[in-house]
Amino acid sequence: MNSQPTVFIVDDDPAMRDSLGFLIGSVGRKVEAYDSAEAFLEAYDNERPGCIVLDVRMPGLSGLELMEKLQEDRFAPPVLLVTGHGDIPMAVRALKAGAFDFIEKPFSDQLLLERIQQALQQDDQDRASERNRAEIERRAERLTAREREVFELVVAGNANKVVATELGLSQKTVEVHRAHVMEKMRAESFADLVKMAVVLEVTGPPRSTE
Amino acid sequence: MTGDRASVPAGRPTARRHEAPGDAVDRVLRVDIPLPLALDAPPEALVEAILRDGIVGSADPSFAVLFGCSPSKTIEGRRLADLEGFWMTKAPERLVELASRGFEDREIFLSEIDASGEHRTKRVRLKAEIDDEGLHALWCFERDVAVNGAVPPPMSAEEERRITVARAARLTALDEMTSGIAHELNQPLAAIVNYANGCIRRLERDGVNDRALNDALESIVVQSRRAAEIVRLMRSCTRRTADKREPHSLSTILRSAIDFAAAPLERASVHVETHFVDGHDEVVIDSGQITQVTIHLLNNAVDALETLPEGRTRTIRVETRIARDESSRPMVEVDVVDSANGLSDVDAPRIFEPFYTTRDHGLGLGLTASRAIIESHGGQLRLCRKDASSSETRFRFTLPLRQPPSTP
Repeated sequence: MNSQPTVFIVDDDPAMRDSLGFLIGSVGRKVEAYDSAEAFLEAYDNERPGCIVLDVRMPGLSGLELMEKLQEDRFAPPVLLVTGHGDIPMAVRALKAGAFDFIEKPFSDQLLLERIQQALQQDDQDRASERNRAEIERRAERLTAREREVFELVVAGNANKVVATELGLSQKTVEVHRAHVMEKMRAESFADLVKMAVVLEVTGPPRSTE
Repeated sequence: MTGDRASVPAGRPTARRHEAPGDAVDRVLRVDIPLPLALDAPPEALVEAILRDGIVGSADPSFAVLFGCSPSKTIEGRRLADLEGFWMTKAPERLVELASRGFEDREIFLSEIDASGEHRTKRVRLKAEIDDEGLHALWCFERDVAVNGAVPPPMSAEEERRITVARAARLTALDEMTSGIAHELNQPLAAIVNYANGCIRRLERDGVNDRALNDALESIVVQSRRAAEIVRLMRSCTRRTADKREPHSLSTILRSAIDFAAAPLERASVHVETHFVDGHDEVVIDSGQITQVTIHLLNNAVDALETLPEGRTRTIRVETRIARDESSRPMVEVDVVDSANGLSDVDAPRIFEPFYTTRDHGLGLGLTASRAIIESHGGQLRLCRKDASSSETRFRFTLPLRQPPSTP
């Protein structure tokens, strides 16, 4: 619904905030600016794609503290932290706290815009894989308990015969379940099904020796 | 004593070598270090001069060389301040040269006959240091080493400690100024660069092809960056470089800081309670700097408590505990808590801003500098948010706990 990503600027200094908006807007990006971490959180909606350009030093909730809060949300957009020049300890802390990157002030516009571009790409990818995962999960929910078992065993690399023995079923029945699994998961190939299992973090028992 | 050397134009012509603009900036700033050193004399030489009212009475030849005079020129009868100025314009090259020869620090002696006719010899320490920011020089006048030929008794440990703290205080004061100015200037400069770059991109986007306009905008960017660079260099020149980090028990440092603040504490009838963690609380710190930070927090608390009416309990609690930071490093947490009425909601969010002060004295840079010190040690300094029921003010700083060497 919101295809155009937004660059969220959070900075308490009005001149920095406005000038950043002006610069980022000049390459046609959609920009929203907030004068504090609190104001940003107030308006925050994790369904909106974008990235956050965040001043590390702010009165009230600091940039790092805001990051800590966002860390809890896996849908949170990537954060570019703006630090003072030579503030290496702060930069290290930012990266450890999960920042996408940090930029030293005053920065080159080229560098800033590139980083924003990369952060937006990252966000796009994250959202795509998140959507993909949600879709696969939705499909997996439609499997019956028996089908789920067969699914887990086959993606672990077990032959139908082994699965049959394991579950006390005939090989024929296993084949039928397996076909249902393929259909419900909309897997085009066995490799496809294994990929979905990886996304779902389904791990069956290791392949038995035949 | 430094006169208005800061106004030396950056673009002063020089025959020595071709200089990039950055070099010139660099040179002016280095020249402006009030602590020059240049020693053509062999390092082990004793450099000595006798001054009367700031005028050189007699000097040994190496002193003349040190102060930029060729041995053939007479140095006697000249004002030290003039020589220094003369000499300082040459200082940076010499510093580089000295540094390349592994120069670290050395002492010179200045003898002066003061107004009362006493002949004092001062020990002056010259120190050059190189770090990744470039070269720094320090020049510290130390105490009299002799008065009328008599050598004063050796310093007591207490006296030495006082001198260390006093030196840290001076350096901190200078650092406070420059870091405050640097921050305040960097913000508008960065904004100017953003606006100008935004204009360039918008003109390009809209297909406006005005060469002169574009050039002017580019110049705004270049000149603002140049200003920012000057600010940065100014900062790196005054930054504390005599940073001596050693393992210390934090509680020992805190106790000595409380001792130092004894006079103001007593004057304001403030009682200090300490609750220190038992056992291992070793941190690798510059003890002078951390003492400074602690004294600053104590003084802040005293100022707040002094506003309380007579009869109210005036207590400061200093507490330590072991905690982990956001990347699970073990830290020592130090809380300085006062029982005053707490900071107002207006002041609380702003107290770390440079030049923000709630007192009628002071520059409003103490907390800014304290925070810089703590962060340079890998810790954090913050004001803990008070809960509604409590009227206390709690500042907390953290320092990485020293890992015992035996840890695998």
